[in-house]
Amino acid sequence: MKISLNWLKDYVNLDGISTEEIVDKLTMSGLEVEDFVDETKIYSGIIVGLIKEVEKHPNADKLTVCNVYDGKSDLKVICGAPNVAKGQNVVFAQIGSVIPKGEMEIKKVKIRGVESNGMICAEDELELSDNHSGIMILDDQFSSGTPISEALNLNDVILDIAITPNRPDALSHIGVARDLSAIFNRDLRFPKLDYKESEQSINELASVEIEDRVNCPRYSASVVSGVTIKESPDWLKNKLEKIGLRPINNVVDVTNFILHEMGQPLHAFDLDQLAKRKIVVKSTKQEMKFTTLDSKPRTLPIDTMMICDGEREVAIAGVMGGENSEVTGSTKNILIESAYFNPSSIRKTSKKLQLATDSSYRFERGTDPSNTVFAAKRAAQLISSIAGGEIAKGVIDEFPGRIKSTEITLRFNRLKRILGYEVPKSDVIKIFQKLGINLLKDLGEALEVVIPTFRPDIEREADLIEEVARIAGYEKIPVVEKVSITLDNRKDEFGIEDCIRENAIALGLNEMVNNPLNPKLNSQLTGNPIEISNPQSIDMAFLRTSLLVSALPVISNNIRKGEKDLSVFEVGKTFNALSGSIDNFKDFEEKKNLLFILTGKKVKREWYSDEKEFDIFDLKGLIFSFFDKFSLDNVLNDSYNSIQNKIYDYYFTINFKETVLGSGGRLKNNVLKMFDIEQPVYSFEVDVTAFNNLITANKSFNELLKYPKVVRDVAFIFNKSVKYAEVKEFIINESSNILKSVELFDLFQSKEIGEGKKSMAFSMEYYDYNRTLTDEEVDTDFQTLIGKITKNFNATLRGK
Amino acid sequence: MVDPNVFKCVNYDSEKYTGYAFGMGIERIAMLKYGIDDIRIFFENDLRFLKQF
Repeated sequence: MKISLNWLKDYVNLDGISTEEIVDKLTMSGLEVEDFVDETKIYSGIIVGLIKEVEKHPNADKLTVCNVYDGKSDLKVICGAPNVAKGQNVVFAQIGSVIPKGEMEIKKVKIRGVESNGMICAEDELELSDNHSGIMILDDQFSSGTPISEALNLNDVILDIAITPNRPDALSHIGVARDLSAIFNRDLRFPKLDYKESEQSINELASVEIEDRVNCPRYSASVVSGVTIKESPDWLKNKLEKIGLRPINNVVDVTNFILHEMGQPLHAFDLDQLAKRKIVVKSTKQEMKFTTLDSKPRTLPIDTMMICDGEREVAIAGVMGGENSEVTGSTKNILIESAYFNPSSIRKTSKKLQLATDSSYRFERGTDPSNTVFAAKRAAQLISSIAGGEIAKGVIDEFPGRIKSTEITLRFNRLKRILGYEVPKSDVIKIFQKLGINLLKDLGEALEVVIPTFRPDIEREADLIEEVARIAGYEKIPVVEKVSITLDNRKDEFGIEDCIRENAIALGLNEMVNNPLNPKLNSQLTGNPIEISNPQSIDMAFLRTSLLVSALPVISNNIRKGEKDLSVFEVGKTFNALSGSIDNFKDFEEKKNLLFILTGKKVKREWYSDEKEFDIFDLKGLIFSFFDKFSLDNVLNDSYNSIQNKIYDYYFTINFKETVLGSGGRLKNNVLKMFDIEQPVYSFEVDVTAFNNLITANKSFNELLKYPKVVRDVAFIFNKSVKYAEVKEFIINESSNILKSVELFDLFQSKEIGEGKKSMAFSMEYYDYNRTLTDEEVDTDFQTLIGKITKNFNATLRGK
Repeated sequence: MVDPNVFKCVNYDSEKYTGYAFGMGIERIAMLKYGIDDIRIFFENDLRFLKQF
């Protein structure tokens, strides 16, 4: 919100206080000044210049070489404007000055062989308007060398203040002035009403009826008859232009002026366009079309609060007026609306129509219901003083609602306890008085106060304490040199995450942090997605059911940007619905997962090696290397599921006994296609909770083997359909307990062993912790096993 | 300062207990330290960014 410092000075005396101090104190007290423009500074070096001579540029038809007098000497300046002429007073930017538009510094330049020592400016270059049709011509009264800020009255400071939603009272110049009056302990000067009313009562000229009493608790109106619509006087246009508003006509400008003066949005109706000279406030019963005063046709949904006349709709309440009743050049009689609308009603309308205005912005945050009559009267006074006309006697004030006044008791011991220091009672009373908080009773150790209606944010004692703190200054809170706090131990939950990160990074992976919110299509790929209540967009409407679904768009993005070789991981939460509707914590499952993704090349082509793509074995190798870091690789087993999985080819799980720790494989092509990925992607997702339970389970020492191992190798020819996992399980089940491990060390198919056959060679280790095994017992076991395998799998022993 | 309503939600007597809560955005600090000009890049997971750290 833009605030003019000169305008503020109409309501509070700021003499002797620097702009910097005002900016700093406002920000520190809660009205954050995001930016400010000091006009005297931005126009420095730009002065009034007199054009003494003009002649054509020798080498360019459209350029003129001017002789400009800057108050001290004559300078040659090149100008391209068509309206330049001898004897003009112009805006002259000297060498070294900076033009506001584009912040361009003026330097000595040669243009087509002729030197130019400055620049003659157009209005747009000073950012006074968009006009670039020619240079600005100034009044003759100014002497050459006068700073332009002085000549054009550019001596204001424009503050850009970010007002938090809890402070609707500060959305106006008086609102900001009120805080300044409290901060600097100066008086707030409220505008005074002083006008003559005509003999005719307003009730003979117009009437107001409120049907929607809930959403329109108060509707006040004043009437001015016989106005002349024309351009506003300079002081009014100037005030509006300074804060970035475009002047329209004297009546509309007054309504805008009052909105920015005291925060009360007003609307001026052409009274003669109101059927039966009547205002009715009611909501639409059905969807309808309506043209607003910006000439845009709009579709209004059911239940939009409207201002109607005796026959039809004339304005969208609190948002924008209608074209059918707006003030035009021929308007004579005016009705000024000054109402208080229910903030949530205006907010809904503004949101549904996607139409936000200065009015709706204030109404939806909450205007002051006590101020409607005053604002209506002030508007009438200003309009009649600049547009002529007579003010009807009295105002209309339909007021079905009630103003609730809040009374709060502030205890001084509480104030001290919260702020950590004592604020003298007299200071507290002064702060409250300046902020418009009225003292009801002084109870000695406490104050009973009544909160003004423009401060809906003050509801409790704590809020009053905050008012004291922010106005007295947060910097007054004493600094305590040393504070000792006992912090709780870090949760294990986070410990494991760090541990996972460190190890994954050590394996050369990069970490991702992806958005848990996804479109429905993605989320439903891997589970039962949960929809969130108020999504920002449909692309972020569902929680992720796995880390994979939120990672794939990112993988796709990277590939598109040329990063095709990726090995990445993520630790994060996933969410799955367990029942149709989510009513309590039992209806969904929130899990912490760990995702690994490999895609592209693992080895790039170099002079010493060929390129190599990631494959399923790399994925498995990566997972086992990772688990190895936690000394788990020996206790885990992997199983390739024959069950069809809708996401993965080569789907496999890694288990500890019966517990599945994670699963993954190569993503199916139709899944990759959804994300526009055209290269194989391998992914594996680990259940971190199960994993954490496993690594934190009590670990015990295994005795070291003191006796030698006996190793026997053997190879068989099997039917191709026989799986290693089956044979391994058979061997472990069928042999005696002196066999401790089986590994496949060779696998091949060839013509020699026959079609549909394959050879698998196993290495088997025999040992015992308590004694040395004899060759005989190992042989007995080994030979028995060979017999069983050949019989069971219909296999042939090789090498015999 | 912790709002009395927050204490009420967790059944603490705000007459008895007061508290402070504060924090800072780690991204902002990283932005200052490394001269990163756009906070969104932290969450885009662009490998060209990730590889730099």
